[in-house]
Amino acid sequence: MLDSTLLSLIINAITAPLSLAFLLLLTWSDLRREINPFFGVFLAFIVIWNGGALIVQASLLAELSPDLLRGARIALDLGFTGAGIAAFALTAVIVKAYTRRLRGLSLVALLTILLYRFLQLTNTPEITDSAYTIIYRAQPLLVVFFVIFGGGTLLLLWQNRRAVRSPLLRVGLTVFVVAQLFGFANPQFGLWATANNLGVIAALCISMALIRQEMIRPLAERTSQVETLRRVSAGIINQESLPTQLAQILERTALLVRADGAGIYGTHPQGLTLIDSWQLPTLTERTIAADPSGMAMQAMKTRRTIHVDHYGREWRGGSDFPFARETFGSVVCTPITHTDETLGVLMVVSARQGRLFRTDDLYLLEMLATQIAVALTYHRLFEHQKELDRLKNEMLRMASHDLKNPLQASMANLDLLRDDLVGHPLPDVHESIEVIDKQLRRMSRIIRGVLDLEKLRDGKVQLAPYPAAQLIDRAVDELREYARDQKITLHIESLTAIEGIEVLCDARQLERALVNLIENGLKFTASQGTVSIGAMLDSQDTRVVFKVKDNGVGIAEEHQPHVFDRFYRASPQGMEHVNGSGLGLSLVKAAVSNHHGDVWFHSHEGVGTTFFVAIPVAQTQSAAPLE
Amino acid sequence: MKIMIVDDEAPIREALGKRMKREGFETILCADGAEALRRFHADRPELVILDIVMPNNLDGLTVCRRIREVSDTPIIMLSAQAVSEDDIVAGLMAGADDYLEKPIGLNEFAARVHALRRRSILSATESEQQYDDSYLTVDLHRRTVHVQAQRVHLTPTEFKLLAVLMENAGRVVSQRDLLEQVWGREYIDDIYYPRVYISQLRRKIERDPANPIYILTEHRIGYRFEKHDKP
Repeated sequence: MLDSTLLSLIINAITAPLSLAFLLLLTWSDLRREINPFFGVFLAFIVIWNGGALIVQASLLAELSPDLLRGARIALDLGFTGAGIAAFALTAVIVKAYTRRLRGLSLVALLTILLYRFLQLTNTPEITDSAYTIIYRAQPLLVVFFVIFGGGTLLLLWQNRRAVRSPLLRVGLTVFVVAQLFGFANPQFGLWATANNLGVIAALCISMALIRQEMIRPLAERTSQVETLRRVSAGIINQESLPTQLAQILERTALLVRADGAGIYGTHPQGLTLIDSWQLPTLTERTIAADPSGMAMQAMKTRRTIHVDHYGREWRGGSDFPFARETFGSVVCTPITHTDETLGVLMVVSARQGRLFRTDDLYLLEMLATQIAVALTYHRLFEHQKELDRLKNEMLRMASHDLKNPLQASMANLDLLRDDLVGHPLPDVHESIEVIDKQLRRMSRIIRGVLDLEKLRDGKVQLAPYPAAQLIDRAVDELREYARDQKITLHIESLTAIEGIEVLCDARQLERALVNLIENGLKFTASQGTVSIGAMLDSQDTRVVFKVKDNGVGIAEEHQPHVFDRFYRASPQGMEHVNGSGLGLSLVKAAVSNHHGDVWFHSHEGVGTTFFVAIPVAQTQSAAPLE
Repeated sequence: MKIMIVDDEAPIREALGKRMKREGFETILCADGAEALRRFHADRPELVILDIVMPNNLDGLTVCRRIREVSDTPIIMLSAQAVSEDDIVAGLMAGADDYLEKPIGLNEFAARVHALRRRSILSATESEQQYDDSYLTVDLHRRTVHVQAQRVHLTPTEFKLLAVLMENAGRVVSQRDLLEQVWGREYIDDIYYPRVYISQLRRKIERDPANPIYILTEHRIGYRFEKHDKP
């Protein structure tokens, strides 16, 4: 007797603090999870029971005050009885059979029996012989309670054996019911010690299984979930083709939730069609289009995730796949939505004897569905962008043709007219011809500017070494006359620093860029001003830095971030008359970036602006071949 | 000298025609590709100005290729369609000697016409040189090229290019020198011109254009004509 008491003492002494630790651990975890409050109540009863048992058994070894013993005995009894009902409620939650009615029943039963036992125990005057046999004389009400809750627990376990995945949990719950049976139904046989020990071990098994299932495993799975999401996101960003992306997402999704099959449906004028699948039967045409009353369609219509544990039994709508009712177990359909639009449905399936999906899995699937939505939207936008680009090019081609022909006709006829009038003293007519000529050339420049910019944005360049000084000479030559008209001094600084140095460039493009910069300087400089052009090598001698400096109006600070934007035009005070397409500087920017160079500027309002363009020096190894 | 101007836009072809008349040319004006081909065979113009975009599925590029099948008459493309360099290269590949972008001033247009005419006339008289290695035979004076005794037709530009390279045989001619000597100073930056013509020339005279033995590329510098002894 003493030996078994000692054994029980040790077991209770271990279990009481352990349960308390579990309870504390639980309070730190997510209490909003449905199972946790029930687990907590269960653990609380285990703590009370073990605490009581510990004191009672200690009293057998050492003299304790009768009041303490009595209190301990009541605690032991209430804890043991309460744990039985808590175990039932816990089982109901685990197998998801928990309803509001069941909750009421459990609560009423718990309160009733605790009160009943409490009154009974406090009114039992005498405690005799052993610590265990006294309280369990024939108690019919207890037997009824045991039959209801112990039997209920076993029934739920049996009916939902697939839902209780952990064998430890299954065994623990079963043994716990058996221990309760020993405790309630056989007090006369002196089985209390066995009941206590068995019950405690079973409770530990249950606790450990639940802690592992609810806390440890989610933590361990977290890494793989994060990894999956990372890979899925990376796949989307890496611009792989859409089918590859979807196939990857699908496979990762299925592996992550340990599904036996998965599929992605895309929307279609008639409903949904399967656009990708992973280990789903897709052999027949019929399976390609989703069944109009199937689960996938339902998820699309309601825009909510639908989840069943047993497709054949629970799903009342049409069958999504041939033989789905016979083969599918747990199925989840999650809509793939983007803003207000449903783009498709993600379906994961486990086989009839396979895994049941949990709430966590649903959250994960919803998250992955969002990623699929991103992939689909991204792809759609990309395609749309490509189409727009194609249309734009087409438009530009047509517009350029349609505008250049009338321009050519006008310019050619104007030239003829001018030739015809040579020697005729008609100053007004000559003046008008010059105005028309200037305007036509301006129009031509604008059209060419738009087309040039498009060409530059294509990024195709033929880079070859070209003398840097020559670029400056040619650009300045082109604008010398214009500068003279504007009464602005166009000044080339000493170019000895770059003498004989060649830059790697498309000479035509780079010259245009310089012309644009100089022209820009001329436009925004008042007459009698100066625009000077220079060039030097940078500190590493790897790039030639061209410099175009004016003492014009400068660029206001608020305009500075935008000067390279297309069609952006700042109209500084006093310069409203300046006309241009707003393309010049964006053209410079595009040309310079085609040359792997940089362009930047310093500007002060009222003082002037200096633009810098840095272009790599031509070196043998970096030069482009002729062919 | 007869010049044919093909453009579906009447105001353009008429203005160009008037100017060419003033320059002393006899002009043939055509509104589409079919008419151009008919008049080309009937009137034998000495120079052709070709628009690219024209109606009735017979565009300038096709007309140019058809003319090239039978003749090496100098051709200038005058197009509003050039959006990218590829368009220009496509024009040159079709066999044109020059590619002008609309809009162009009449003075520049006339200058380009004269430059091309000069190119095609000059190359006929400038050299007495002959070359014969039994596979390739070139007579610069008679303007004839034979490959394995078969007459090969070269356009004036191709011929001029070959002549310049042969006159400098064994020496590298830089891209810029080629542009200046074959096309003229105003073409000095049109660096894709030599590439296009060299590849066409190779196709016509080399046994294996991919592994040329006559016209060799000097990487990053230019091209060189290599003579071969008679076997």
